[in-house]
Amino acid sequence: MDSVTPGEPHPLVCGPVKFESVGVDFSSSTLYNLNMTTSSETLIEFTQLKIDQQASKLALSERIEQQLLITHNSGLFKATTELISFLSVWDADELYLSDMYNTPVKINRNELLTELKQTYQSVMNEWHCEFEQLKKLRRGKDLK
Amino acid sequence: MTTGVVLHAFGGDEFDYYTIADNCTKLVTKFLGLPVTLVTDKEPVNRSLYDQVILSASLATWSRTLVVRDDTSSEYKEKTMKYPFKNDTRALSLELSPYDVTILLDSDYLVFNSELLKFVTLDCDFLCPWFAHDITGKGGYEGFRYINGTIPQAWATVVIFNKSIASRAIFDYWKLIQKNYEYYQALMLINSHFRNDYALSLAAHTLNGCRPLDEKLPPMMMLPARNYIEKIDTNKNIIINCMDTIIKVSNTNLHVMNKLCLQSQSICQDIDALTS
Repeated sequence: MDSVTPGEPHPLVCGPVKFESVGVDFSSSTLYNLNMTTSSETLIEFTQLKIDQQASKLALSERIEQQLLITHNSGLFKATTELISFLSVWDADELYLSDMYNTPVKINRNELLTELKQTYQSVMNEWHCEFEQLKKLRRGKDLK
Repeated sequence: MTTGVVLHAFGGDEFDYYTIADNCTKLVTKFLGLPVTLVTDKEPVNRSLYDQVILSASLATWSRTLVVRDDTSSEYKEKTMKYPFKNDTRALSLELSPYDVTILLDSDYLVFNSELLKFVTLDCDFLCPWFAHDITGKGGYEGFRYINGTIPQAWATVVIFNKSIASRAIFDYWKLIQKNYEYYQALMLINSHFRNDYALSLAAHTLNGCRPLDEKLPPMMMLPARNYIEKIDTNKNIIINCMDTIIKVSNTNLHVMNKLCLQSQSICQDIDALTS
């Protein structure tokens, strides 16, 4: 077992990395381009844009999650590819299905399948449109 | 079967809850198409907005602090506001509501779509969200999943209930917790004034057989108090200023913690333009 000097970090404990200890010359231009072609202001602006975009995308996806929910026979279902596939291949017209609240609900397969497909199609279209708009932004202030 | 929305609005020096409730009602009427009953302590100026007004008195003496952006400064600065927190009539919502199925909303919850109507048609006695998302993506409410590591935390911001025995039991227990808050405060290791979120969580959890509820509303979108709404356009786009960044959300229901922005003249005008 390694001996540990009091006050020193254990060798297996991550501490500050000492770059010189790994024998790499970090001033070497072969590793890093020291002549930056992108100004720091541009980098800040780009980072800011990405922060804004990520937050907007996250909020959008949360909203889409909720829009994918539909009610059928007092049950709550989500229009997912799995559920649509399952109902597409099931052969009986009526069956019991566990809903989002883990409650078995008697469903009409064709009716629910139609509702799920319509919801899936319209919500995913909406998501795609709004997502593309967000991607096109060049600056955070363009959101306004 | 009648369905409607119940709001509570009690005045304070810092926040104009009456204006905030008016804005909320305009959005509810536009996007949910439901009548709104207001529980308040004075006759509202815009009486015609409401289906019914129930005059009541708040006996709460709690105060609460909120850290918001200081609008008087051009640079980003924060200020702490202390305000009276009159939230004690909420537990009476079941007996006050004139509707068979009620959507109980905080007046600072802005409705921009009809998603809540889906849950009204479900055969559920009592629904509320058990998780919240920070819409700015910066903070987060992971730490609010449980009340001090005891039971799951529900949010009383949006509650859908009918007048079944199960719902009545939850509201009765809610009132009992409110009345004996010191005891329940110690039980749940809570170190703050009475909050409806806590009382509702304990009542609903206990009366579900001391188990987390399966039946929940989807996670609620929250806008923390340090951020504010800059603009709402007529396409339901909400432009949010998050200290140094701007985000845009649209068509999304939102619980806005910064009450100051909700009562600002520009937001009132935006909501008027959107709902007229």
